Amino acid sequence: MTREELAGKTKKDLIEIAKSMGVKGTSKLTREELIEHVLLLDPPFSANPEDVKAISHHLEATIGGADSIYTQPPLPEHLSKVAVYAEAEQDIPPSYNDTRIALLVRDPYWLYTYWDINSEVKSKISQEYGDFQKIALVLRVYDVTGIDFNGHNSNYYFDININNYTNSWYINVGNPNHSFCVDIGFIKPDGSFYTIVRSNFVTTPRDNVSEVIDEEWMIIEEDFKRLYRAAGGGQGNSSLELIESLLLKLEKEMGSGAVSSLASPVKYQYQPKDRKFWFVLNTELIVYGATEPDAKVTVQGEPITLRPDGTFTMRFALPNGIQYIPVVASSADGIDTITITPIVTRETI
Amino acid sequence: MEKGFLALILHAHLPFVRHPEFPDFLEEDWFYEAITETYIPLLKVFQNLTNEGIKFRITMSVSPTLLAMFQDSLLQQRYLKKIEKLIELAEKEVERTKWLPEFHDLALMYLEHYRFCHYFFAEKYRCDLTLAFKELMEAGNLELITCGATHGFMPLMINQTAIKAQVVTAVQSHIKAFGRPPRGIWLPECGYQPGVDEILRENGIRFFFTDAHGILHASPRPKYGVFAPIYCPSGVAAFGRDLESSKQVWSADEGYPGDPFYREFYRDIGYDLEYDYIRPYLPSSGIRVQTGIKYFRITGRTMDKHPYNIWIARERAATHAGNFMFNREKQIEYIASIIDRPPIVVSPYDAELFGHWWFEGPMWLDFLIRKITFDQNTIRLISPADYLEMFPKNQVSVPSMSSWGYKGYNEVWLEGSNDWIYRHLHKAADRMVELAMNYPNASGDLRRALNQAARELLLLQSSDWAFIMKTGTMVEYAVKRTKIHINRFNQLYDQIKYNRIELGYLGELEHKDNIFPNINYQIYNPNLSTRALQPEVAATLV
Repeated sequence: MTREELAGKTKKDLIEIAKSMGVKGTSKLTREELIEHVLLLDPPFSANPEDVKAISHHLEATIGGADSIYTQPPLPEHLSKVAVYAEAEQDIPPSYNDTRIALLVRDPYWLYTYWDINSEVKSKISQEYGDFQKIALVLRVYDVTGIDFNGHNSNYYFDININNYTNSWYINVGNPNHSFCVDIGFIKPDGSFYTIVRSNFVTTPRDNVSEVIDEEWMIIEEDFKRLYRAAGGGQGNSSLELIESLLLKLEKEMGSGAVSSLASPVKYQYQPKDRKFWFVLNTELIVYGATEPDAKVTVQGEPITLRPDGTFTMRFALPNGIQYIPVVASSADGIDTITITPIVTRETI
Repeated sequence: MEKGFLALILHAHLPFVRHPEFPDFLEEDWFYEAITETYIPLLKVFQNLTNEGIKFRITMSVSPTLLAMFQDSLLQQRYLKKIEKLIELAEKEVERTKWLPEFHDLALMYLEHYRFCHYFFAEKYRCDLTLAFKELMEAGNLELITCGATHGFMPLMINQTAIKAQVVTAVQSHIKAFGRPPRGIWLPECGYQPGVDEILRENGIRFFFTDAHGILHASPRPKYGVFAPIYCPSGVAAFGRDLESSKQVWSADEGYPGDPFYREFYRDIGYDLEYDYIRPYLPSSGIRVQTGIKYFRITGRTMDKHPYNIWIARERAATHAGNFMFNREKQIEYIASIIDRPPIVVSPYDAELFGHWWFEGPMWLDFLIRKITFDQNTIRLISPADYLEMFPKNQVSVPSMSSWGYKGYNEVWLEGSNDWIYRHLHKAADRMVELAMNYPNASGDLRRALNQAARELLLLQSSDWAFIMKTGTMVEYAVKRTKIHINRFNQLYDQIKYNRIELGYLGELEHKDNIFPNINYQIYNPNLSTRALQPEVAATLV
């Protein structure tokens, strides 16, 4: 029930509604208080009264009829036999026989590269420099920050020796806010570097606040630190401490798109670490019977629905204690009535 | 007069999972569960507030894959069957728990909710929930924004045309569903790399979000930290996530969802009840899974869980909403004392956290909105677009590459378990661009094949697959999906290139991977401007 609907009711009606929800001392409450009580107690999922009617009407008309109220064209015949996960559908090429090296940023300090070398390129190199498989391949990583790289003017470069059995590598550049590219190649006998292919250019992100200040948007250093701290930078006093505590927070996996797979975002679950042995025991009681198909049957005073052949089955979780279960069958004309009352006791020792 | 603003962002997304070739499919349940436990409860909260005349502003991104699933008739029909089964199970539970009053009340609650879902879904919205979102948008209470077409993680794409295609397709599907272009975007996984904003600008998008350090580490240094947006050089605004408010909801140690009185997610009758009884409600393979009916509360660090009580939990949700509001008021008062304009606090969450994981989340949100409306004057709910209208002058600065993943950069999607995919993703993107340039005006079957290749590439790019490979649940499915889309794309590429399109095969793929029915492969032609591809958007660009 919404606030508006309740506001439209008389106090007498409100008292009735409040009572039916178990509110005590309703006569002492004002109209407004009654409305607040009812709103608070209104079951979180209950719909408004119109909806309740609409829902039962809707369900009577449609339940069990998903097929008829919403028709889906039948699956075309040729598809019903297709096994989508046929192994053949999962074949992917180990290589595209390209000559290519690609560079990706993992974080401010690390890059990732993968490469592929065309078989013709390999055999051409083999002709000139001997068996390709025996050539010691090298990744040459160039820092190209702020320059128009021509192959020879990098700020600095370093080499990584790799083997011929890998086709990817994580590179520790340890240098945030710098631009890089990488060549795959080898050192020729004369000591110079043979570039087989060069990668795209990437820039690592900063791991710190920018030292560039825009005069139009100045803020005093102390205030910026306060803002940084308020943004999650924690209690640190030096900017280094601030950054460390910010990164620490980020590492706590707060909302890493985790629910996108509906996989657990955060483990609230208590997982016992040491001994995992456990045991659970529950009991349920099945009560079943049969009578004339048109008879009326109640179990503990509540009417139940018979199957078309007059049989019925009830299933109850059975707690400790005594259950009296009067089952009453009455003939359709109301003349005959038979009551059977099993008494069931569960004890746990 | 308020001292500052709170922008609550709910990011709703699920990967496209639809398997017409199987009568039932386990991973499709993600979608059905999210409808019952998250989307309908949230929509209901928003509708009730709207009906009561309460004005509020919540920003919600609805990913194009989710939109496509909402609008897919096969999934709609399957959802109805699922909810019918749940109603049947809840009815049995009402009977079975008759002698256990605490459980009985809960069984009744579930029954009532499932019946409501059936009505809400089938009767009220004729099986298309996008209409409910649209209504709330039109009422002015929801700011609907878009996401990458298939949630592709942009910082790990090299081919800029492939990023453009993700954005163009997203904007098109948003317009088709909601009738107007989105003003903002949730970059998948909050993943930003400098330059992406230029593509957003071309598509009429005016704002996006980064994690806190994306703004804090922007250059030049942002005067207001994360408490005001910055403009990228392209003119698109970037808003930074506030970590303090995120932590209150997300944190495993301190977050609200861990309250002992809240419902325990892991105890479900799908696991707890006698096998033959629960069997008809399990997948056809017969493995035990979650049904959604859960009777216990978190209780504490114990295996001995106590029964859940919705009324106590509701009180806790109200208390937590009050606490959240109080903390935002204090936070905003503090920030307002440092900076010379009203601050904005941006709090984004995965929508599926609410209801599905955190059962009381929708209630909490309901209480929070009511309290903010009636109980205080310090903060006001706002959408980023409204904020930009009020404060059009903002500092120009380049955000730092960042994401909201573990450690804040790209490592979640680029590590030992999933790095193998990128050579295929990049190759497929390059090949798609090659095809689009080689066949600029295709028609007939060739056009169909090109469009389908574009669909396969987009599906391949979903960040969900790499994410699942890393997190370690359902890994096999993510690996299969990745390999299958690589395979399908490459098959189509060869068929197109060597002019031997197999119509039977093409028809089969069109039937299975039927996302984005109106896709135009020319989005992969780098020579075509966005204006040519997006006439609706071009008209709105100044």
